[in-house]
Amino acid sequence: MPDFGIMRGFGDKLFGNKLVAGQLPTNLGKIGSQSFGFDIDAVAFFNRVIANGGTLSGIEQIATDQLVKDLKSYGIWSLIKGIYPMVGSSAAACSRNLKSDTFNGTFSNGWTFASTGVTPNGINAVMNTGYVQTSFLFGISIYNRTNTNKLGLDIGQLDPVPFAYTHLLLGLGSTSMRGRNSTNANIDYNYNTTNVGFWQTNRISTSTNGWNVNYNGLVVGLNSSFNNTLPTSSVVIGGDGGLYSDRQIGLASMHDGLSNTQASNFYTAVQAFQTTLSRNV
Amino acid sequence: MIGYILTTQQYDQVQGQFINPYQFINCVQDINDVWFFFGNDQDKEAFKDTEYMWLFDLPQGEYIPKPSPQFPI
Repeated sequence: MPDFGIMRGFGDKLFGNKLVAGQLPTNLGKIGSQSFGFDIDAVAFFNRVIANGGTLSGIEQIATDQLVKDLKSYGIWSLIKGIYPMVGSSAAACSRNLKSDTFNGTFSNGWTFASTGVTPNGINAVMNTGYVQTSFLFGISIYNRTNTNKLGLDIGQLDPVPFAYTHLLLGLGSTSMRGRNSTNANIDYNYNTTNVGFWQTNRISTSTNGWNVNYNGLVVGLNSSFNNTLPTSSVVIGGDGGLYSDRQIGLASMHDGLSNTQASNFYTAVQAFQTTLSRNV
Repeated sequence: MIGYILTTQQYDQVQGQFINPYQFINCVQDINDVWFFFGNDQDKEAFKDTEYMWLFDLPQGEYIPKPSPQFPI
């Protein structure tokens, strides 16, 4: 008679609703040295979440694992500095960087954590990534789940000096958003009816039209402006400079500037991730 | 919006302090430069057993935000 004890472990860890209480982080998703086909970087993220006191559901593990695999398949993973999948419904889990154990975020008070994402209160709530932009060829991304037009920074920074901002503000007037990338010039885009979806600002060169704003994988604006000085403060999420957002976030990321094809593929991967979690918009 | 009202001394005591390795305190000034702390039920749970739980016992008042900074800046 085979020993089915190992199968109990399998069921508990991979398909259970939550991770088993008291489970050792290093055992997550594993039987002995096996990891059920989970990507090694996904497993490392799961372990970091658990070590930080968070938990992930089985479907959150599966979705996150596929996200990592898709990003690697598209050649985007290596371009990412930080990516926060906002899974686990807690500050302990949502603060962790999926890419590596650097640039883990810190949340202020005023956030709501749910299976659908994280929501700032629009008053004082901010998440600090600790990442300071080091190159002009840079990009930031945010998956917005709430259609509001409150004037607030969704991701980036608003340092008034040296007037070289990189940010996305999805509420600007009633139906427009603003992107910036290493400049105080703007790409303003009128979205007509809703600002929910996946937004990116990517600078792929400092030459003509080397800066794009992408919405759901499509280029919706381009520009050439950039300053010769990089932003000096770290990328924050949810608000900065007195401009606080109230929009729910399903994922946020900092990365190298992505080409239009990469930006489109990034959207495809992120949308698949959100769909698996039944929180796609 | 109702928030907890802090004195300047209380603000100096708590602003930027961490309640755990991944959560910190961020207060905000209203239109009259009065400091406010906002905490929801999840915050209250996170603050439990920390030295800053008293923030939830502070007097409450109506928060009126400052006008948005001139934009674009």
